[in-house]
Amino acid sequence: MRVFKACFRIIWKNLPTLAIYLAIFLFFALILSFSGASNQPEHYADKKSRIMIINEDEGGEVADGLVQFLSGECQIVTPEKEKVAQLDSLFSEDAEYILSIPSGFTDDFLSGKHSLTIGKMIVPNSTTGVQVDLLVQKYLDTFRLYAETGRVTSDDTAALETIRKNIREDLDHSTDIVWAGAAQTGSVQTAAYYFKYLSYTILSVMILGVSTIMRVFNKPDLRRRMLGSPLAATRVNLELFLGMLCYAVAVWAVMMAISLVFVGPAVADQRIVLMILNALVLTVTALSLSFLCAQFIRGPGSQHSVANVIALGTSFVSGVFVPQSLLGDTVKNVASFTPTYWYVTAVEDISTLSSFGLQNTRDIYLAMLIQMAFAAAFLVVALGLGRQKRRKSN
Amino acid sequence: MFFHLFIYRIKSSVRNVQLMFWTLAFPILLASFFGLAFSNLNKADAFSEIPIGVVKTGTFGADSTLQSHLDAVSSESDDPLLTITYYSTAEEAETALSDKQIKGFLVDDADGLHLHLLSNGLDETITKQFLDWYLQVSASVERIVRTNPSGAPAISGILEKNVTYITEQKTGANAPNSTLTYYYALIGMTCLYGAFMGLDQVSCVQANQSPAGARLNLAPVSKLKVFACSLCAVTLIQYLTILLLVAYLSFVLHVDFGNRIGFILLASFAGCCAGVSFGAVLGAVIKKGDGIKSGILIGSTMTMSFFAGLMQASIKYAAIKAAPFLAYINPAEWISDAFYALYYFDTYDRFFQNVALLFAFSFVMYLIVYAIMRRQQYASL
Repeated sequence: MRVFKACFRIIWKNLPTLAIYLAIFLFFALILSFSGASNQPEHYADKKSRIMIINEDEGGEVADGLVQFLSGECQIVTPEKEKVAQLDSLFSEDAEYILSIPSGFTDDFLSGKHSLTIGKMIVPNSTTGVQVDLLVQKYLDTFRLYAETGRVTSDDTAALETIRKNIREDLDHSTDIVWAGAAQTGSVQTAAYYFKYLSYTILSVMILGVSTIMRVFNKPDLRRRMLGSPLAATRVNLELFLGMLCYAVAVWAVMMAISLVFVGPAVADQRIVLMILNALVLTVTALSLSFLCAQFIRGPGSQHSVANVIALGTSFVSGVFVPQSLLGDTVKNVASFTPTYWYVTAVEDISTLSSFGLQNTRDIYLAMLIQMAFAAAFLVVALGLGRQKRRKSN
Repeated sequence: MFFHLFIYRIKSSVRNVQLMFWTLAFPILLASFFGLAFSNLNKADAFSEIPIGVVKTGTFGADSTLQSHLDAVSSESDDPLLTITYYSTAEEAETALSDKQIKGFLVDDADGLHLHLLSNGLDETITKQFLDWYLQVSASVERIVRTNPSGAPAISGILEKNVTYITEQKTGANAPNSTLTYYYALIGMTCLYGAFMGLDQVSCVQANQSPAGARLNLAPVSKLKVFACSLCAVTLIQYLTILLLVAYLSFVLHVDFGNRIGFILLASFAGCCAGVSFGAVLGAVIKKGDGIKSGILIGSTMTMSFFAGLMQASIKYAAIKAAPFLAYINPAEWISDAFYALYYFDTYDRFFQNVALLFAFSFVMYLIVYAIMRRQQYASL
């Protein structure tokens, strides 16, 4: 088993480089856990937009009532005094809507003139804008209804307080929700994000590892020396194949071990078991793709270039970094010619799975089969190319 | 002599395939991936009418107020919010919901209003809040009729009157678009990748760092002159590289930079100088092998680019909000922020602050390089 052992000696020597990719992955995973991707509720919950309120009419009953109402319906961002800081906040989407209530708004509102309006700064035509507009309109229309029917003026503090109390009670009425969505647990959501990002690491680490092994065994001098050795060529190829397969399984096992940290005890969930299986299928496909890439890679520099371009490129177009639902149709059509796309499709389907009958899981298994078909195709092309290269060099 | 050295340094750098891949091809490829992945992001945020279903069974239709409440925001209205499809059975509506043709459907029966939903999102929330409004107005009207009967006749007039409460204010010079942060951070990263060239040039003039450096030290030419030529040559290459990237972003991917071209050129140049000088310092300070130098260079540029928003746009703002000093120590942030300021603000204060920081950084870096490399002598080569 000399060749088999040599494979692992090569990997051991290049471990620091491979560790960089692992570290990048862990970094992404860490950001992910902080970004709250796992906080998906299991039932219906209002989506709370992030808004900043600049209230220059503090003490005004209408303005204060509106602020109090919006504080319950939205997530309030700490107001900034400087216009530049407000604009920064809007650009970065820290605040999706900036609402400025001018001084004297309450008096103007209650006088019925409505000459002073609330200013808003939003990303033009954003859905958040529509939502917050609706909330503001709802509150102020109701306030106007009470104030005008009761002929309330701005001096009548007691009446204004009653109106605010009445509106609070009225706005408690809500439509009954019948929830038909799948019961998605937080850990399955976290696992889905983890497994999606995993494709980037698996591809990079596999391409780098396999091409490093192949680069050594493809050196013309070494190959000629091996041809002269008493070891049969079939045996050499078999050991090489076994070595790379063991490497692939080791990469997969390490990634699954890390997944335990993120997923925790939910690892026994049938959906997560399917994700683990899907990751194994991708690892085998990545092995085959790496074998194909190794036919083109000459030096250590080009190894990194190829690994980065393939891993990043397929991740971007296949919905790893941006959800597939947000990708354009053309991009999705192009991406469907990559195994990563089918891997991500399977992960997304698994995460929304509610029952495990063949009817529901058929598409998932089909996506895995397509990945295997890619693996077979890559292997055939790589073997063909390898044979052609050897013939040329002989 | 200067011109001769300059030309040959350009030739040798351009022929370095690895160098050109990381400083030119890789950023363009990454930009293309961004373009493919982000092409629909802005469209996804934009509002479009929410498709919902209404089941016309039970008590629906008995209450004309609900119908007129829905009509007021249907596609035919002046202010469309919902696209309403009517179904005769709940099963039909359920099929449409599971096929994702509608976001939810409404059933009005003896128990009240029921909204059937399949998922959580802003569209679903807006639909629910709009339907809540109907119930809330009904509650208010009922209360007024009960507690203040004299005000009751005015109710319908008040409800029908349209009052504008909100006016939209202008934001910056151009509309906010957080996706741009990725592209601007990418330019920051590419400028800093000029450090590969700076690093290379320092190795080339140091006799203990490369065979070329050893040979050069024996030549009867001022080392400072050779070094200055090399730096000018690689800064020029890097500048052209950045201009190519900016042109690609602007003309192919249609990334918006505003229209102040002169200032875009200035920001690009300042970024290039900072990148090359940063690499020169790394080359002069670190005496270890190429692998270690490249590792430190990639690690530091990626960290800086990360905080400028390359991997996640919101990090740029969140990091500076949490630690304001980051805005003054991160060259990638200065570069991306200079482009951001040009696009977003009418004024130039922030732009010039960033450009000044970049030039000052380059100056300090070259001072350090000069202090380390001057009068360097070798006992044996």
